[in-house]
Parts: sequence; structure tokens; C-alpha cells
Amino acid sequence: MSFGFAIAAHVILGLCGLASSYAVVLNLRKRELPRGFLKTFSLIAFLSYAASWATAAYYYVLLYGKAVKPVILAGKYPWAHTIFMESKEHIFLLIPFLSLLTAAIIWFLGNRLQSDESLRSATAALALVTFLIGVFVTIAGVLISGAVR
Amino acid sequence: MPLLVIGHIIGTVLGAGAATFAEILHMRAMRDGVIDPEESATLKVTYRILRIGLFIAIITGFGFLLYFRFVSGHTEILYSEKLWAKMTIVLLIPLNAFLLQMRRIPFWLGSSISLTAWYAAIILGVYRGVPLSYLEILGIFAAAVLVMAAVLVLIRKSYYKIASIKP
Repeated sequence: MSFGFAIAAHVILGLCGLASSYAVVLNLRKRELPRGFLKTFSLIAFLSYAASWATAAYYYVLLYGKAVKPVILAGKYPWAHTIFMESKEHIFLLIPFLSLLTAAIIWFLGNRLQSDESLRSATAALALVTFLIGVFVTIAGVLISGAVR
Repeated sequence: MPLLVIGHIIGTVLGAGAATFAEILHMRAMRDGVIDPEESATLKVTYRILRIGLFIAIITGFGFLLYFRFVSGHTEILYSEKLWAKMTIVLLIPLNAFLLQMRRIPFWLGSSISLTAWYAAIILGVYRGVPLSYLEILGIFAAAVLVMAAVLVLIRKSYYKIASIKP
């Protein structure tokens, strides 16, 4: 697998995960819960984030540390690595687990979601936090890529 | 690259077109003060097209970023203030839709943010040499949202007046 392909897959899969998390948040606020839709998109979110993680790991382990990081640190924007990559590589770890938890609630406690307002709000909050962390990670990714000069 | 450009234009056209029609259809539906099931179904389809347009525009937008990073090597574009202003404005679209759905933002403001954001994204995409900083672009955007809100209020008032005259 080429590194360009790996990073393109990482970005596209990450965006698919973000869009799916967003869809889950919006649909959890509906009066009549579309359970089939929620099950599908919560699963797509988890699988996309997990695959995005795997493709990023391939790029990060085999190329980033050796060839990209030194260029950023020697360039005009070393903070792109020292602040944003260092934050991203730790904060990102939360996303697959939060999305897995969201999917597990929807798949296994789906019957209670319609009637239990507090469970539904908590699940929506969980998906929203996942989405917001994803947005931060995405923005950090653009900053890091732009610093490679 | 041409495929990315075509995809980006299709996404933006779908999004801006659907946002415009969502406003028109909502205005029409509300002329009697109630959205009936048929009007609600039409609006739902329009919002779905808007979301599809947004998704295509964002995916292809990131396609451009990948192109600059791995193909053309013009990574300096990724630090362009215009690009960041555009990304901020595009990010406002889903955030605004979420706040509207949660009823945490008045409808007049939410609808004007949505319309202005889509048209701002088009203008920023077409007008390549914008000689403005990030804050200047966002300042103009904020002013444009207020102007759009005032224009929409005027259009709604005159439309409802005409609709009430009709037999």
C-alpha cells in the first residue's frame, strides 16, 4: 500500500465517520427514533473510525516519524507537530472507543432509547462528543499537512 | 483534479440550491402558519439533498487538500487565510443545522446563516485572489448574515401579504 493511498483512505474514512456520527446525533433528537438508520450509521461510524485509525497507523509508523516529522520540526511551523500532532495522536484514541460505545448502546439498548429520555440524551451527547473530537482531529490534520514544507 | 473540481461544484450547487429551495418551500409552507404532511415531506427531501451536497463538497474539498499535500506539493495553500475562513464557514453549516434542530437558535438567524454560508462558500471558491485576512472575511460574513436576515424578513412579509390577498 502506498503512503499517499493510506493517507487518502485515512482522510476519507475519517470524514465518513464524522458524517455518520453527525447523522446519529441529529437522528437521536427525532421524536420517532429511526432505529434501523441509527443502527446502520452508528456501525458505519465505528467501522470508519477504526479503518481510519489503521490506515493512519500504517502511515505514521512507517513514514511520518522518519521522513515527515523532521521536516516539520526544522520548518517554520514546528508547533504543528509539538502541539497538534502530539495532541492528535492521543486524543484520537478516544474516538473508536466512544463510537463503539455509542453503537453498542444503539444496538443492544435500542428498545429503551425511545422511552428513556435520559439514556437517549446521554447517547446523543456521546455521539456529539465523538463528532467534536473528530472535528478537532480533522483540523489538526490540515495544520500538520500544511506544515510539511 | 478535473474530477475533484466537478465533484466539488456538484456538491456546492446541490447544497446551495437545496438551501435556497428549503427557504422558499418553508416560506410557502408557513403562509397558513402550519406545515402539513405533504409540505413536511417535500422539505425533508430538500434537507436530504442539502446534506448530500454538503457531504460531497466536504469530501472533494479534502480531496483538494490531499492533492496539494501529495501531488502538487503546494502545502502553503493549507495555511491560506482564505482557506481557513472557508473551512470555518462550511463548518458553521452542520453546526447551525444542529442548533436549529435542537431549537437553540432562532429560525430567522439559523436560516440566514445557512443561506449566507452556502453563498459565501461559493464566492470564496470562485474569487481566488481575495485580498482579505481571516478575521476580515469572517467579519464581512457576520455582516452579510444580518443583511440576509433583514432581506428574508422583508421577503416573508411581502410574500405573506400577497398570499393573504389571494382568494
